[in-house]
Amino acid sequence: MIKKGYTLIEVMVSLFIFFIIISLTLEFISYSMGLNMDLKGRSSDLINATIAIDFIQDKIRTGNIEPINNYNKDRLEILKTFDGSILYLKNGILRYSTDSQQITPNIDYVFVEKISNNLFKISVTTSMGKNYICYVGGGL
Amino acid sequence: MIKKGFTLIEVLLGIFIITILIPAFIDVDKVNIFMAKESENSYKMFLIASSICELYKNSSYYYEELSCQIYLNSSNELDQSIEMSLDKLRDDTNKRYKASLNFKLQDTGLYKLKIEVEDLLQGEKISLSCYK
Repeated sequence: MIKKGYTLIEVMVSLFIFFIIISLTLEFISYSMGLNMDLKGRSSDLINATIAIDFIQDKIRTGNIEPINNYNKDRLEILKTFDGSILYLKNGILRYSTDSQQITPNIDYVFVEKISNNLFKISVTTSMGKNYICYVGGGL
Repeated sequence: MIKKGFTLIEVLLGIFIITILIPAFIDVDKVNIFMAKESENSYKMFLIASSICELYKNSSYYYEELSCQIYLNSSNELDQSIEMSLDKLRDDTNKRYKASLNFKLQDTGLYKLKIEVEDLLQGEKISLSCYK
């Protein structure tokens, strides 16, 4: 007898194996995507905090600044530079002087404290809830 | 008899190889996550070192020859002056980071501070020097 095609048992066993492999693959893909999203979030969060701190350090070192740390309408005003420009936080974006000058996104809170005549404490909280604090000395 | 298709052994072997490869891919992702955490940690260590430098540069104290260690979890624990920070953070060793400070008179009127921050959990180290 020439056997053609597959028996029902063979088809069912192969389907069973196929579905197991597919479900494992899908599970792996969703796990991997979750990890990658987490990784992307962590990296951009750190980069945003670094940019915010670097910008504030630069303003402190290159000119006389005056900390404000007050809410004014819909924005948190952080500091005023020697030329009267204001660094502020609006809609989670750190901005300088005007709304269009966006420094970095995903920042929740920034606080600049004057410790002594020439020493400032910067505190930056990102949207992921990470808090970065550093001291910086004024240049002038 | 002409053999077509796969035997059970071949199929099982294929599944076995796939199950070995999947954890290998997961491990690659875990390494990436670990590296991301490590870079965040390095940045925190850098903030501790640079903050100590700034505190020393802005203090009225000049240490000619002094080596000491302080223990802290973040730069937030530093006090508003280098003297108070050295005093406050010297004793509690149950912290994540250890900062070894080495003050030295480098030349006439030039004082050097070398800071080495060590992560006591991961063993990672960074060092930073500053002058005043």
